Amino acid sequence: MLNKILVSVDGSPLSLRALEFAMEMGKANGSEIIVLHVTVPLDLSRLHSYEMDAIDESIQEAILKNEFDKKELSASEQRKAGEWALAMSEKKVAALGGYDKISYKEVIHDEPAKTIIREAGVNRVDAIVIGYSGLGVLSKAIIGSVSSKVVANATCPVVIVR
Amino acid sequence: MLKKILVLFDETDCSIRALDYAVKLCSLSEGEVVVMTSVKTEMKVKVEAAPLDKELRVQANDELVKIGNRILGVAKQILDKEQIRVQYLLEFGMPSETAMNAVEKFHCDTIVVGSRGLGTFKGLLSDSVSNKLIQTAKVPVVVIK
Repeated sequence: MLNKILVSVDGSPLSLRALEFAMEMGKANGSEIIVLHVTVPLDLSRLHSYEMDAIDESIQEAILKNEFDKKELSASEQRKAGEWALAMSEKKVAALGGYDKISYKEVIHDEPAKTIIREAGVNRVDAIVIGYSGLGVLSKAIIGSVSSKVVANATCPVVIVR
Repeated sequence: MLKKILVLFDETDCSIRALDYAVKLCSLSEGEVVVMTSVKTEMKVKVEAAPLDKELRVQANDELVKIGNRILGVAKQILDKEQIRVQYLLEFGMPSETAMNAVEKFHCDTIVVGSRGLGTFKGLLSDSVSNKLIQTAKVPVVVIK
C-alpha cells in the first residue's frame, strides 16, 4: 500500500538525500514518486544558492543583521531557484540510475508546509518524505520550520531524513 | 536503507499502526524489524531511594520486566503471522534515549514511531517521543499518525 510517495525538495543536499530515500522506499513496490518544490515568492529566509555547496556566509550575516537588499533577489531569480531545485532533483535521480514513475512539480505559494500537505492530500499519497532542515535554516541542529509543520499536521506517514 | 527497522512499541493504536507500517516497509526490501518497548523507570527509582530490603527491590524490577514483556507479547501476536525476521527488545528508560542506543547496537537504518504514545498529553506536541527522536536521530524517522 505504498503506491504514491511525495518528496518535498528545495535543492539542498539534504533534500536530495530525502529523494534518495524515497526512491529506496518506492523501488521494490513500484511506487509513483512526486517530487515537489514549493517556491516562496520573494522569500529572503530561504537562502538560494546556485552552487550546491556554498551558502555565502556574508549573505547569512546580512540577513541576520536585517541589511539584505530586497532588490537583490528578484521574482525571476526566485523562479530560477525553483527550477534549480527540480533540476538538481532530476540530476540526482539520473545519477542513481533513474526511476520509472516519477514526476516533478513546482508550486508557487507563500506557505510551503500547507502546500506540501495539500498536495499530499490532493494526490492521495501514502507517505511524505522530507529533509530535517533545508536551505532556510542557518543551524543544522534545529529542525526546519517547514519539516516541523509538515510532520505535525500531515495525516499520512511522514519520513524525516537527516 | 530499510534493511533493519527499529519500531517503538507501547501498545497504543498509533504504535500498532507503526508496527504495520514497518512490516510493509520491510516486506518491500526484505529487511528485518527490531521491536522495542521502553519501560519508564520511575518506579525503579522510587524503590531504590527507599530503604527496602533486597527482595522487595527485586520484586519491583520484576514488575517492570513483566509489564514490558507483556507489551512485547502484544507486538509478537501481531507480528507472528508475518513473514519477516523480528527481534524483540525490552529497555528501561526514556524511549527517545534508549532508541538511540538500540539503533547503534542493532545497526538499524530507519526508525518507525507513532506520533503520539502513552506518555504524551494532548496538545503538548513538542514533548512527544517522536519529536525528540526527530531531533536526535541520525537515521531517517518515519512518523505514523
